[in-house]
Amino acid sequence: MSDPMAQFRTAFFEEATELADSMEATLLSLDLQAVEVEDLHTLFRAAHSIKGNAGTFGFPAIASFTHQLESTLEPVRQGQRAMTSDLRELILQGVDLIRSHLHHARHDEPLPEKEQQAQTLLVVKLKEGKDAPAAAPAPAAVEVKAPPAGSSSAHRAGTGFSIRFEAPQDAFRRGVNLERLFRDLAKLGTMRSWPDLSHLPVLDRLDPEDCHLAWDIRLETAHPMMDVEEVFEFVAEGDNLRIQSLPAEGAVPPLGDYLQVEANVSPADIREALAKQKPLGEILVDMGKVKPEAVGKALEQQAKKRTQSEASTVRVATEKIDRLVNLVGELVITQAMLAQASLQSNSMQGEEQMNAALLQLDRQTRELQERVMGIRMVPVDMVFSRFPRMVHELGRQLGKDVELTMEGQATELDKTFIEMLVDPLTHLVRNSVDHGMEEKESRLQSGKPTIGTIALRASSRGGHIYIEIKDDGRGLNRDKILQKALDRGILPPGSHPSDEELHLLIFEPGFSTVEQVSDLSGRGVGMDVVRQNVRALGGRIEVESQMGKGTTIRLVLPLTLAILDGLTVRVADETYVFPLASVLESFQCNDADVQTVKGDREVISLRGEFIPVVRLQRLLALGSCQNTGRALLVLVESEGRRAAMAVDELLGQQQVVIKSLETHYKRVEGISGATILGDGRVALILDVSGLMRLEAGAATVEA
Amino acid sequence: MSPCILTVDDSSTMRQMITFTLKSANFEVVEAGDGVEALEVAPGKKLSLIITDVNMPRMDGITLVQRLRALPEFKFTPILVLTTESDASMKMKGKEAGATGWIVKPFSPEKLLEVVNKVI
Repeated sequence: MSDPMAQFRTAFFEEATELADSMEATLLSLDLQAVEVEDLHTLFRAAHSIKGNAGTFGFPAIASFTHQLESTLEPVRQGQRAMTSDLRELILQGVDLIRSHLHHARHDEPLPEKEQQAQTLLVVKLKEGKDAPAAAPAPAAVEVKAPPAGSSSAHRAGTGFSIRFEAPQDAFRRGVNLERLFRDLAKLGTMRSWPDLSHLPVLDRLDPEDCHLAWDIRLETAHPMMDVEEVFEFVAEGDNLRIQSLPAEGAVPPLGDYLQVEANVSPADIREALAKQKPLGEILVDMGKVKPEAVGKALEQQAKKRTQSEASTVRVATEKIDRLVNLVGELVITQAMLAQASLQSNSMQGEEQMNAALLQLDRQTRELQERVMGIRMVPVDMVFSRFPRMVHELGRQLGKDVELTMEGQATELDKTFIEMLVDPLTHLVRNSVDHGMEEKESRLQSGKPTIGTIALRASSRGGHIYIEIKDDGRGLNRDKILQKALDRGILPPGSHPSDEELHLLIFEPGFSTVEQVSDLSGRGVGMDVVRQNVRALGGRIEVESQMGKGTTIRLVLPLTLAILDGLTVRVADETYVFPLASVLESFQCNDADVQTVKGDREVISLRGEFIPVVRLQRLLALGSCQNTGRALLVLVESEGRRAAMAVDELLGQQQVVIKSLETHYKRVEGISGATILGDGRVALILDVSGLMRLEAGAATVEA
Repeated sequence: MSPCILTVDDSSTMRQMITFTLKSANFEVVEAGDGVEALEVAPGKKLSLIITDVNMPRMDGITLVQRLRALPEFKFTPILVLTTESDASMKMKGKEAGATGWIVKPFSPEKLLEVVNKVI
């Protein structure tokens, strides 16, 4: 081969492509809630390698662009910048641009104008996030303990590093120049080092060719960790090199750090001193105050609590916390006003003041409630952000051109919801691409644009969150669904369901109108799981579809799990709450309409369907029912089953705050929680499916 | 007197590139086409550094490093190995044989000088 560079170039393209693929795979597998540091290192290394190799082979454009990605990733892997879904999206775009660069470079073409522009824009965006870590375009999510915005400037990577380096034993025999190494290190900033000679053997056992030296080094520098690692490149093996960032500006360093700088105490001595500190448990055991087993048990409990509190961290935008602090300030003022007013409560003026203050208190408590709930809220974009790529990939695999549009990504949802919605939404979006969208040819034939559109929309209205997946595909086939439902016995023969009822059948377990199970959908979660998850969150699903025009699936969710839309009812002298999401309707009927079957089971015929009647008064053991001749029934549905619950009075519809019975009392079958009503009384919240199970069980026992 | 570096590679183009780069940075350079030739050329040159390729006819780079380390003259001389891929196993093999460090191919002239300056 006449030109070794040409040979290397081919290898470079292959390697760089592989590296880009690995970057993408790593990015997509990242769990943003708990990012693995090793993954960040992998990402960084990949970008670093592409950059280095591109430079060698005369592709400065690729090198300089990858350099931007690399320097974006550097603070991320050092924990100084959060890996957000926005950032992930940007880096994914970057990976695509690298691929495009490689493709064009391979064919000796320049990068097309359009992609040049995209690249410029991307570089600007990458830098934006860097300069203002706490004011990203999306709602700024910063760790509560993070230093206040602006305190860390763009290129400042902490204040430096604390390094522990144990030279490999064969360093001399390998011709390693340790002096040179320290000189290179000192070039990076201000260095202070403490040799650790504790590993030196006694003189008569010492082989002068062996190296037994170790150092503790404190390096104050603005250089990134990568530069420090590079100095140690040939002598780092496994765990003989540990580099840690010095505490960031604003954080208070431990005493040992001050002693290092002020009194020149070596880190090895500090470690030794720290090792002499005995754990509390050990001291207590030595004092004979406690048994070792008890300490072990206590430690276990502590560890458990620690993992629990770690697992349930929520990142909160600082602005939300600021607002809460302000609000508490206002409350204090209101409290002072009330105190003042109560002193002159007999006067006309005092009463006026009191009323004004109470009005203010009302507004403030309501706002406080909303804002405290808001702490649990995270933008829906955390789920949405994965879809553009998924839709793109799916479309490519299936040979369909699909465009995904998104709206309302900033809509906020309870954190628990986000986690539980990932699978259902993924399934629905996949379904839309896979089953909803027609092939290109059939779209053309029906006069539609060849590019299909899927719209993801999130919004919040009137105490509910709406998430919509709308496609302009083939729509649901009414006849096919009806036929299938009749075949499977899901609908009784001769039924004439409304469109709405019919469409909802696609969420029945084991219901699929697509004969062949495709590779993409039809695996993992099914539509019934989608419904289950949505219901578990206290929400419901609506389907609108028109043959040939498209399908819209709408998830309607409550704002938060802690508050429930309830229907309050009276049974005997007690008040109970039905979750409104499971109530279909309520109606009055005469006792004569209720028929008894199998001895003691009661059913009522409603529009041709027999529905079991549940006497709540009997089931909840509130005494026997008096026969009034008429009954008030609430028709409820849960997990696909319906029941008519007999109550004495409908009191009204209201939002209630859910208190867990388990934490305050114990688990009770048929009851999902409790709430405190306006008059201070406690009302139990009914668990509809639990009640149905209870009723079925009771009947079996009696039978 | 400027430091003298021995470069060992069977590809003459590669050797030329390395020699050119090192000479332009004011190093003296001696060349050898494989391990056997290197062992003949090296003694008595007061070498400051040896850079060797791994895959070579007659004697490969790893064997060369072992043979050099066995000679008192080269016991502590820095030796860099040219590894063809960023393969960790080759780096380890080089280290075990006694090499000081490595340069991952492909590399730019700047990278070559950077690594050379790290070990001399």
